[in-house]
Amino acid sequence: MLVLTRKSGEGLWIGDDIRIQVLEVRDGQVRIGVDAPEEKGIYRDELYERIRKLNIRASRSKNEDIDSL
Amino acid sequence: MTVEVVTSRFGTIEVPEERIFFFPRGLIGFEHLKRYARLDSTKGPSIQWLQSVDDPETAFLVSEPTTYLPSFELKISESDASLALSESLDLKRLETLTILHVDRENRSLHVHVQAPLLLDPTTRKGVQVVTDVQNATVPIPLKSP
Repeated sequence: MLVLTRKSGEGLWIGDDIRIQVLEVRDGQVRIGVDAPEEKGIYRDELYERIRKLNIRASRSKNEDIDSL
Repeated sequence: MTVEVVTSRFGTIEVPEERIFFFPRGLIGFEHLKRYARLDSTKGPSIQWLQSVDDPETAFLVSEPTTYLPSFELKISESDASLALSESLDLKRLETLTILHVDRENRSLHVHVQAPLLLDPTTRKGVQVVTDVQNATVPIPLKSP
């Protein structure tokens, strides 16, 4: 993993279309701003994994499942 | 205009263009699939299939959240909305759908409340948003057959 040190107000670019900015660092928390194209989803990592698993399970719904509803 | 959609569940079907929605980000875990057809289920329009146009195997059962959870309220904080919504989506005219998962073994229906789908019927664009709720799904017992 690439590791960089940035101060409040500083940022970085990923390629030419994603910009990440450190807005504020306080009490062990970091506020981050992200500018990215519309087709890039931005999610908190713990939620991404949880929803991904649920989506995969739901994507396999069968015709017969409807009969129980 | 209709679009031919090949599906593993319903065979090859012709879907009117106005029933095809574009998800610029795909769904979470399905980022590569961006076009979905909205199909009424055999239970009528209150339960629909969101069938991937580009993968025959991928389809989600969806309903309006209030179909099963009358008191459902969409809670998107401002920061979530700015994460999830582009300017081309207008919050006021969006339709909300929740993904359903039927667990037939345990006779329960799971309503996926944490990551609903927001659809804009005017632009036919959609997005899956992640909201701040305690539990990702709400289980509802199903009647015995």
